[in-house]
Amino acid sequence: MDIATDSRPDYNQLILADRINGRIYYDPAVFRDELEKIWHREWVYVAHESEVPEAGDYVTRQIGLQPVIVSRDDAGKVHLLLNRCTHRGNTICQSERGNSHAFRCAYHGWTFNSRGDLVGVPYAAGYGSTFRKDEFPLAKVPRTGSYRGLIFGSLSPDGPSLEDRLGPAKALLDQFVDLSPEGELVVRSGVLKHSYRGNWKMALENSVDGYHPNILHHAAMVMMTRGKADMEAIFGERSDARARDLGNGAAQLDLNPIQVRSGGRVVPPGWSKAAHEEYRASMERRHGAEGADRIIAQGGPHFCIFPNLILILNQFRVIQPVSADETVIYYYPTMLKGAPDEINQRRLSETYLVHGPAGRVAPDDFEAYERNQVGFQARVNEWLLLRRGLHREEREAGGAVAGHETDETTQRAIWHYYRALMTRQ
Amino acid sequence: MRLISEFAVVEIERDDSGNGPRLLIRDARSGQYIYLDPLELAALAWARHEDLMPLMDPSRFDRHSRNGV
Repeated sequence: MDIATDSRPDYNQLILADRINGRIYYDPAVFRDELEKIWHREWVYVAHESEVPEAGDYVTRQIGLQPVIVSRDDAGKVHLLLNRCTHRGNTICQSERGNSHAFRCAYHGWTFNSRGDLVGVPYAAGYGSTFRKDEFPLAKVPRTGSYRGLIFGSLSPDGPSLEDRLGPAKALLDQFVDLSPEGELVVRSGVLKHSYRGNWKMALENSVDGYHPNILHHAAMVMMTRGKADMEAIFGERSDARARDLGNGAAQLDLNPIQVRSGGRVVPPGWSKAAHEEYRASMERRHGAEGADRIIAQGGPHFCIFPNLILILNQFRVIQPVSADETVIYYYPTMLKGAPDEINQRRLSETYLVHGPAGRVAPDDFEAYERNQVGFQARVNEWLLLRRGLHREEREAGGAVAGHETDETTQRAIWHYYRALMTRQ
Repeated sequence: MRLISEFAVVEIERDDSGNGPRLLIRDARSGQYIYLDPLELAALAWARHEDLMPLMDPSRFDRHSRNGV
C-alpha cells in the first residue's frame, strides 16, 4: 500500500506489529512531529558531568534542534540554558567548549552570567528607568536530571522523572560506570564526529542490531580476532546472547554469556598482567572478591536509551538529528576513573581504531545508512520487515521481552515506544 | 602571556617600571589596560566571581575610555 506523502502521517498505519513504512525515515512532516513529540519533550542525554568539571566550564549542545549551553557556576551547580540571547535571539556561545563565568552576546553586547542571569546591557539609558534586568535571563531547560554523571534535559516541564523514565536501563548504566574502581567515568578524551546522509533512527536501530555484525562487519571481525574466533557462536545462530526490550524504548544486546566465557572484556585481549592485577586489586577493594569477579567477567554492557544515547563497550554514542535525511553521531571515548593508564589507553585506542573515520567497523555502518536513505526513494513497496524472531521471543522472569541475539526484538522495542510517543496527545 | 576565550583576548605581563612590581592586564580588543599592585591582586584572590559581575556589566563602558583609547 502506498501512503501519499502529502497526507498527515498516521503513525498507527505506518508502524505495525511486524513492519514499518519507509516514510518514517524520509518525510519532513514526520521529522517535524518527532521534534514536537520526542526531542522537545522527552528526557534527552546532553552531556557528562566530567565535561564541565571546573567552575566556569561550559559546553554547547543541542536538545533536538534547540541550542543549549551546559554550564557549571561558581557554586558548582550545573545549568542547562537555552543558547539564545533574550534581546534579539542570537546564539551567545559559539565554541563547543570553554571556561567563562559570563557570556557576552557578540551582536549587541548583552552579558549573562553562567547561571543565565542578565548582568547588563550597553547604553542602558536607551531602555529607560523601568528596565529590569531580572526580567530577561537566559531561558532555562525546564527539567534537568543527572544519573551516575550523565546529564539529561527535558524541554517539557511535565512528565515522568528521569529515574522513572530510565527504568531497567539504570542497572545497565550502573554496570557501565561500575567498571571504574572509583565508580566514575571521565569523558574528556575528545570526540569523533560522523555525519551521514540518512535518518537518525537508523543509528539507534543499528546499535542494538545483532543480525548484521557477522554479515556487514564479517571481514573486520575476522581480522580483529585474527581468524581465531568462532563468529557463528558470537554473532550467528549458535550464539546464546540475547536481544532484550528494556521498556521505554531502551534495548540491549546482552552479550554477557559470551563475555563471561571469554574471561571478561573490560579491554581487548592482550593487556599486561601488571595492569590486570592492579585493576583487579582496586576492584576488590571496592566490591569484594566476588563482586570484582562478577563485574570484570561481565565487562561493559551494550544498550541504547531512547532517543539519542548508545552505550557500547567503552564509549558513548550521541545521536544528533539535523533533518529527516541528515544526522551527526558523536562518539565519546569514556575513561574509567581509578583504572590503570594502560586500560584507559586501550579504551581510547579501540574507540578510534574501530569507530573512527578510518575505523574497522563504523564506516561500514554509515555506508549502510546512506544506502538505506537512497533505497527509501523506491516507493513501489515501502514496507520494512520487523518480524525476525517474533515467533520465538519470550517474556523473562524479570518481565522483559527477549529473543535471540540476531532477532529484531530490540528494534521492535524502539518502534513500539516510538509509536506510543508519536500517537499520544 | 595571552589568555583567549570566545569572549575576550587579554595580555598579561609583569611590570617593574614603578617603585614596585605590578601586573599589567590589557584588553587586546579595545586597548584598555590596568596596572594592579600586589595588594589589589590579593583582594582579587579573595574575591568571588559574583563580585566581578558589576565590573562585567557592559553599561559601564558607555563613558569615554579611561586610557583615552
